[in-house]
Amino acid sequence: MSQKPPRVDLLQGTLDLMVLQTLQGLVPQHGYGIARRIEQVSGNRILLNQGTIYASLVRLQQRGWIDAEWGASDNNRRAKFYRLTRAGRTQLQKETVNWQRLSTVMGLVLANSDSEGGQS
Amino acid sequence: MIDTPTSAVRRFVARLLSPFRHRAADREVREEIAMHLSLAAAEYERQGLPPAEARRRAALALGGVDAARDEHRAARGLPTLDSVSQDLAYAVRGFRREPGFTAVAVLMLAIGIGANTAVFSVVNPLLLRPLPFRDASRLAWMADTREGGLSGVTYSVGVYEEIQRHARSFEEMTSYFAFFGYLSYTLTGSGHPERLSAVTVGPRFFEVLGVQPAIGRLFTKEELAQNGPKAVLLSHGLWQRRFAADTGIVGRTITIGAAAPIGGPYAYTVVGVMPASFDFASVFAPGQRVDMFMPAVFDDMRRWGNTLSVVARLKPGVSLDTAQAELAQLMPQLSEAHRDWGRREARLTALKQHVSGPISRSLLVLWGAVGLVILIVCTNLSNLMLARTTGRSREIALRMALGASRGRVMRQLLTEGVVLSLTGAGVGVGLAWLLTMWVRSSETLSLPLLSRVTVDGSALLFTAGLGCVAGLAFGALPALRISSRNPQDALREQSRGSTDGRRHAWVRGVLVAAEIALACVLLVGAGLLLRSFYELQQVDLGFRPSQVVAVRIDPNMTLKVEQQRAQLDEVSRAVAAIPSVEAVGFTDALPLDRNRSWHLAAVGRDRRPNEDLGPFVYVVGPGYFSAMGMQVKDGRDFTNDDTAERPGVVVVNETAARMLWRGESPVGRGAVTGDTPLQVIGVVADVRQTAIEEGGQPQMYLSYRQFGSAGSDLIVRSTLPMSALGPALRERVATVDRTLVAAELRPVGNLVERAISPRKFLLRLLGGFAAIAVLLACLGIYGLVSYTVNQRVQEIGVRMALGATASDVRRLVMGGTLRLAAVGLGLGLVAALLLARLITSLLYSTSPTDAGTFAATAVVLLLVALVASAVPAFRAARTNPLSALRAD
Repeated sequence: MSQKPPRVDLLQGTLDLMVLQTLQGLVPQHGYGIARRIEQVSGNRILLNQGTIYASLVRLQQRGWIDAEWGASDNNRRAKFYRLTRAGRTQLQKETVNWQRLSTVMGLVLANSDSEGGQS
Repeated sequence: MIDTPTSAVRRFVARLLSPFRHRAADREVREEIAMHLSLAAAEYERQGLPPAEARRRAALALGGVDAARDEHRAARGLPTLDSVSQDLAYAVRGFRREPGFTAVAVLMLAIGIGANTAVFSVVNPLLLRPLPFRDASRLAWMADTREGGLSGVTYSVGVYEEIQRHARSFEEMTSYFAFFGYLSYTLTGSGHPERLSAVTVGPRFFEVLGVQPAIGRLFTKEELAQNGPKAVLLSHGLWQRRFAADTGIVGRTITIGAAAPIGGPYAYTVVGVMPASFDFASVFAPGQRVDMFMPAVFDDMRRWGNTLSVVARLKPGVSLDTAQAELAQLMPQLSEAHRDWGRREARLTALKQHVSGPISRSLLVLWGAVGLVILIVCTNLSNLMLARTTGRSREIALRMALGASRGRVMRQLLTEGVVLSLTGAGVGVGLAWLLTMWVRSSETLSLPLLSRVTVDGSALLFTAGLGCVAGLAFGALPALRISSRNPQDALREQSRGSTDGRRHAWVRGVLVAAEIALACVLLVGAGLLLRSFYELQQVDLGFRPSQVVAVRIDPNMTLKVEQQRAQLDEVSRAVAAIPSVEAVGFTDALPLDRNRSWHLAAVGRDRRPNEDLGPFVYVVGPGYFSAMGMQVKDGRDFTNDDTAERPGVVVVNETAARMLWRGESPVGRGAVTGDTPLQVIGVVADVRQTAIEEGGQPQMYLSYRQFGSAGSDLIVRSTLPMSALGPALRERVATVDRTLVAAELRPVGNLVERAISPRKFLLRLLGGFAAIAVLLACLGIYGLVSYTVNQRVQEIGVRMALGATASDVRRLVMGGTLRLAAVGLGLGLVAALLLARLITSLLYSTSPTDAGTFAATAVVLLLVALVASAVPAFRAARTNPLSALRAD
């Protein structure tokens, strides 16, 4: 939606999808939990700028894909817990299929152009 | 992430609303981040780092508290100005490329929004804003409930004072002399003599309303007492007009004279000037002019009968119902204690309701109608925008393929709608301004609070809001359509004949049918009002107003009453001698103008409880009936011999004769008004007095040689135009007495004009709106049919190649349109049938289900549909099958 350099734009889109995926489980999670989870699942290959997670969360919330609620954290302090809504679940399925299709196609195309490049 | 239409709209609304909880959101995100840091630091500590290092690592991983907060703000708030101005620039560029489309759209919006702004400007002071008084919601109008015009709803000084003494619900009560219009004052001294109108007001009148003079002071107790110092308060208008807004006028004296019972001329001290915002007439006497205020001296008025209009201020916390309940108990008790009063009642109305209640229905109808107009405009523009978006579908698909998100494109389309709409609103404000000027300056329009009708700040705010909503409304359909399409399909689409194109045409068909339905509702409403207006003009007024003028002539006040009456006789004879003057006669009251009623009973008949009659009273001179064009049905007119020395005589109208003498001729019989015995000498036809709609009211005429006291209007029937009659008349009057003023000639027709003016006002506006609606529906139909024909040009080509004739094609195209029109019409007629009941009270001898009006509406709209579709249909019929098939 905004006019930022393409690299960030790409990251933003993917970050939102990763956040949705992280929230797929039934347990609501707070921002720090989501950030750590993404890092862990990616085998720490994604070095997240953890602060960006909050912008992503508000975007998803405004779209009606996630819900937030204040509750008590492990150390008994107030924390905001997020969870997926029904619309969010549908969206996640759609986006996952899209993403897989895209990455397959991208893989094919890139592999093809590589071999063509080799021939010339 | 790819937005769905719902999520895009949700996000848009959320971002729009986010400024309202900016602080709370900031606080929450700060708390979240603090929590985040403490959790992260705790985890690092568990890994064995010292606390300080753990905190440092946590902050590093977060990447800056401020940065995180800023990014959060950017994401939740409105898009930065950058991208908004990009959207704006793009929209403006687009509209420049299509000046024709833009001009039509802006014009439609200007008319639709301008009409809304104008009606809002009228409705706002009358219905929405409080009256221009302090704590106006606590002000109530108190009136009796008897028949007989003003006399039936006012109180005598005695009754008023008794209510004031006993009623507990009110903080204060005040009153003014309801018949102020009967008295006219002549300002002499410096400059030419000028006739002025003044309201005499009771104690604390301005104080109760909460109005302060702009300069000077209000009346004192002494000035309100009998034989007190003579004081006057000037209206702002008079002060500016006659005294050049000279602040030094306060404290000086001016010379004012009036007919009996005021007398004069006397020197009055100007004690103050009222502010421009205090417009007595526009609240209490719409359509009249008030120049000054004078103290009403109650002790002089005790024998005048019912003359006071009463305004009361409720105590804080006391409701109108509570006060009414108290009066319902109090009034019978008071009536019991004062047998001479008869049965008196008091009904309270909120002052606001009293002022604007009678026209609130008209205004609400207008407001509804103008709402329908803007709906039609939006429907039409939805259609136009949809067509435009279809034309641009490849451009839009390209933008999306190049990386513009769906949300961004939707926002672009909505921005275009709002830009267009606000441009239209800008032009519309100009139109509204002109319209309100016209309304304000209509002299004969008797609507209350007219002086406050302006396009003010709240009207501008309303316009801006309406513009935005309208823009979003008609931008939404194309935006939703774009977002529901796959860009690849759009790029690939051969647009013609594809299923998508068909669905598109279907949506547009629904829009056009809706337009026809809305136009139908407006047309039926306007038709019913027009019918009522026509019926009203068929009413026999009882007099013929054309070629009749009234000119106010006050007798020379230095003469004795008997001499004054003789002088008026002389004036009458002098004016009658002007060539081309057919008839003249004096009267102190005119139909559809001031009214008052006196008691009248027949002598020699048993009086039964309901036979006490309170007919309207006219004190007239010989010749009045023929000057007004009234028919004498029985007996005779007054003559110069009906003087004070002779027995009193009375002429009654047919209704009074029927009510008191039950079909027997009353001529020659005795009657009594008050204590005065009268002999009935004639019967005249009824005239319409309080309203053209109201017939069958008893009326009586007395001789001014016997009952005349105040000045009168000389009624002149003449074939001369006013401009020629005026000088001739003044010349003749001056020959009788140089001090007599015959200033202003009023056509009696103006009274009729004023009486029908609220109806005419409503009819004009509603008629205008209906005409706009029909025009817009016509445009909508034309646009749709042209578009469909273009879409189906191939199909038409095939049909013609297979042997269809030109008339077959015409029938095909126009038949489709007529089906659509029939659907819209059907819906519209049903809606109109349901809504017409709401205007029943505005109709005159017309049923809200008047078959003629409904049928005429149906015929008009079907004709419009036929005409609008004929042009594209004939174009379609000229299609050359070969070139049509070869296209693409």
